Amino acid sequence: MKLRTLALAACALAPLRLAAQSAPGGLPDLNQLKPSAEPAFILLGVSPSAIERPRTPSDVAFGVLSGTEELAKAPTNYSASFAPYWLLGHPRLEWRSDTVRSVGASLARTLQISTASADVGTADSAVAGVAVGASTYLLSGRMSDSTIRQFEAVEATLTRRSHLQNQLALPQITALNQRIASAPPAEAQELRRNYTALVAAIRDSVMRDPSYLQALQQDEYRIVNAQPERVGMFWGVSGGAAWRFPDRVWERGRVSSIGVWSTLSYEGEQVGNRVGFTPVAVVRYLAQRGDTTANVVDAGTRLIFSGALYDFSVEGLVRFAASSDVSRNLWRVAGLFDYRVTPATWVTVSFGRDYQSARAGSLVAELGVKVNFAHDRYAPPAP
Amino acid sequence: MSVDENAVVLNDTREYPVGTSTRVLLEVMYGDAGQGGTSVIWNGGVLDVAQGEPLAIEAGGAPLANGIANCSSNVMAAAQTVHTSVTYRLSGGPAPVEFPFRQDASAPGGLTSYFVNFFFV
Repeated sequence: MKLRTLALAACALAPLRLAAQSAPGGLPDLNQLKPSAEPAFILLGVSPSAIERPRTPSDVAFGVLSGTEELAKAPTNYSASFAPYWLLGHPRLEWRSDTVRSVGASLARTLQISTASADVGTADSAVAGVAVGASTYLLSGRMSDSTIRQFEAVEATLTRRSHLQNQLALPQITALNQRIASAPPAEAQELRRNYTALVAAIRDSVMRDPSYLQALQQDEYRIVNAQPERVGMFWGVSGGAAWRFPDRVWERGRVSSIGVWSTLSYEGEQVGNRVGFTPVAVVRYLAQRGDTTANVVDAGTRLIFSGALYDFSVEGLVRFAASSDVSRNLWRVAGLFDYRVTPATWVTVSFGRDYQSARAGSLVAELGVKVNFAHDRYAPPAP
Repeated sequence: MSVDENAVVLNDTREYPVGTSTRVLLEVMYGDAGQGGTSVIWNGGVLDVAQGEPLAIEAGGAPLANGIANCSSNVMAAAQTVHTSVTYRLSGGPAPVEFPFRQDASAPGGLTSYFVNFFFV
């Protein structure tokens, strides 16, 4: 498939097809209107869902595209992304000071740089594609009350664990300290010189002690990872560029496409007691080198209602042709309903009109079943 | 999900000049957006450090010189990084001193243990 077709297909925000329901880590299509953390993948026409990578945005991540021809050939498609801010240490950044963020802090802490390479040619002509992109949030909400409570609970558990470690080491460390206090100066000096190693040996023996390991199985010492989430207003911006290298020749490389987009959403709003409401709006510009008719501006909105057993969303998008050669603008409207049958199985129904109403396949009307092995169907944006 | 028990451990010992002081304050700050908890062995007992509050270390009015405080801090790295850091701030002596430590966890969101001893001199 050609790059342009791939890129537009990946960026179209459009067909609610069952095959495209799962984004990375099992996220459903409901997140498509949010800024992608990997603009490079989109511009290259490589669907992020086909790339093996960590689910949580991390300081650095690498991926390899799956298709390897039954391991007879090394994969040709690779990806890498990293968050510069989290690569460095920040000893002054306490989590309590990250509950809310200034624009500058949000921009720095959510910035992700992504690169990708993929084979975008055909069987007859080899074309290597390379893309670089960046995404960040100028606004990234605030830490949810639930997350704050979870973090405080983790801290209480960590303090209890520290207390337990000290309690178990207390007799030996107290004996060592008393020995230093009462020993002749030379011996005390020697003990002080070796103090770190002596205490480390005591600490190590405690951490290997069966009674300590058994105690860690008790609820009061068991650390449960908090599920961090942020709520409120999110304003994301993304952009990137892709290059094509026909026959994999460096000198023939040219920029093939660029894209920039901005997304505004609000997380954590409630309608009633149990229904979450997330409005999302997006504006996006995509340009293809050498084909001005393919340059488009998309503007749209999506309203997502989330209950314990279902998600319902409606979206409307208008596609403006950037070129004067294309006189007609296109629009799309669709609805999606997901219902949870079992914790891992969802029935999905979609209905609507695609951009070109006269084209085959423009009726969006599908029914399907999705089995979600990860069980985590929807993950709010990570801090 | 339970956290991996294979905590990365840091051991160290530092000196804090206390002069003739009979009371010092210990504050503990956890950086890199991680969560942490600290407990101290002092004078034959175990004292926990409350979050955001200094811990008073004293010996019934006696001078603290030649005393030893043994800290145990457990820190969880934030989900998006392996970095953890702890800064111990001691005050009450002739001058306050900060003692920063850094240790990477084995994985993002992983656990680190800091065992830091302070000689009061």
